[in-house]
Amino acid sequence: MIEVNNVTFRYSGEAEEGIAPALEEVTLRIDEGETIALIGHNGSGKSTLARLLAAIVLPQRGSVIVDGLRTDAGGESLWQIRQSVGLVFQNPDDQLVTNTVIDEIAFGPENLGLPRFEIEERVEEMLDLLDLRPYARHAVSDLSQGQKQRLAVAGVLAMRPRYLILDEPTTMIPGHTAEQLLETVRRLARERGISVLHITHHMYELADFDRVIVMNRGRVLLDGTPASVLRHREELERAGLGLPLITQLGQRLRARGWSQLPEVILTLDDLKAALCSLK
Amino acid sequence: MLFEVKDVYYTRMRGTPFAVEALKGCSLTIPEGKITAIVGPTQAGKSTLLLTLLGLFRPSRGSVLFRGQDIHQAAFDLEALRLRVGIVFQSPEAQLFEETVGKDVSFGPRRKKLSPAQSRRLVQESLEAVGLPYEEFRTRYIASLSGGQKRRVAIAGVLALEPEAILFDEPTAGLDPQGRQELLALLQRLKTERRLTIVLTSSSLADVAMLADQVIVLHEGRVVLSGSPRTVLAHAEELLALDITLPEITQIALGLRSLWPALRCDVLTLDELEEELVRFLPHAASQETQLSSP
Repeated sequence: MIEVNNVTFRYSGEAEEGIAPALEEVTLRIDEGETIALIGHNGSGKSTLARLLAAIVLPQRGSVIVDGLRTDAGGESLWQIRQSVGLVFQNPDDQLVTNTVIDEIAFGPENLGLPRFEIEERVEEMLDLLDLRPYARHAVSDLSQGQKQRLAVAGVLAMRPRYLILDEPTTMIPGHTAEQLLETVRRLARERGISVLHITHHMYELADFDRVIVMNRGRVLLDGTPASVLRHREELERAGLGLPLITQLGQRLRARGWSQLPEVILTLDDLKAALCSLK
Repeated sequence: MLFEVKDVYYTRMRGTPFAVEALKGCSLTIPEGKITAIVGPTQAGKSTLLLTLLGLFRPSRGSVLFRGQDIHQAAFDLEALRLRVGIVFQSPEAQLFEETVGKDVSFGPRRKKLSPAQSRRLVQESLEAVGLPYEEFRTRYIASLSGGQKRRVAIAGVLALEPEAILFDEPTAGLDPQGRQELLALLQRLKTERRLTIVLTSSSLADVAMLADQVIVLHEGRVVLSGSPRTVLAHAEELLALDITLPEITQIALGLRSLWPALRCDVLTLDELEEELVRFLPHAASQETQLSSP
């Protein structure tokens, strides 16, 4: 479990320039095996929250506690936290460090000082899990953006984290590739109990997550199931987020008299089922 | 017609074990003053096609005509072509090489030996056209700009050459939704305000459906579909099979076809989809009472 207790965080210089803190009085809890979509407009504090969870930055007020360890305790516990919280950056080029795909996956386990057979086993596992086997011996620089993004996820997962944080992994890659990546990540959460925090600004990606957290101006605006969050249309619009098109379509039809349609339709399958019941 | 591509073949890395036949009998036309989107999955030959238009690649077969003239004939002035048709490469951030914004954008005008006053006017106009105020950005260091700003500086550098047409290779790749919207709006402005011919490539129809006058779908080095965005979207199922990302609206329409096979999927907006769908729905009880009331 990760606990974020009343956290306020300011980047240096923000106070002097009179800019509001990047995060203000944020409190939330992430349980094991949960899949969470974190959404918000540019500058809402999403990425800052991700960095606080991974102990890359430390809160100035409040605390972040990962499995009982405070991120600001320093020393040995910092290493444990960094091992259990894996972060995948928005641009995979920012975190890929080696020349070949195999070396890249092995990089984390090697630095954990694992025995050779264990490293090889993890590399093999990740090649299959993220569909990278055809490129195993390829140069990282020859991969497409989507393949690089999968490699970045493989490199982080090879460290066997308990929490996987994805900072807008779907911004740089085409739609169907993004969908496949998210599906793989959700499957991992189900099969291995890894918690997933997926940061995005695509409203249509929310439907398949257990929970949605909406950030606005450094604060948590909404937190709940996708359906309960999408009921707050006006709050979302004020935070610069429109409802997913499929939800809007359902609401337009309701307003035109098909009032038996549900208020919040999340997926195409939901919409089809609802329309079938009208037939 | 600005460009005519006639049955062009091109093999990249010819004569090496890595040789790839990138264009295999590609034929198309690029009309003047319009936005043409070349859409296709990765490896379809999109970038190769752009470079072939500028004569940077020489076709192994077939011909490329600029205003009716074969660009590979001895008498044709390729250098003049490249002054009239600019190109913004993929990740154009990488094509900036000067220290400051002003110096980078003025590189072209200076090479054309324009007077300092003329050069200054062009740099100013070009920066303003891409939404970067001249006085504010002229002396800024390239290194201090955001990715989206660098991309716009690169475009300004091409505009400063006063081209008639600009080719953009994947201009929206790697931008967040806001940056993407801004860039697409800029392309629209360049067309309407400066009457530029614009050609862009993309792996997604979502970006170009509302923007392009003409869409050309490329697959394995050949044109498989072309026409207005609406004409092309009518073939949504085939596009999906080619790994082309469809607009969200089209995806919904396509999904609803399993209920109503006659539902049109060449809809561009939520309004259009709503009207199309309503035709198939049974009348709502509350709707009838609404209609019967005065």
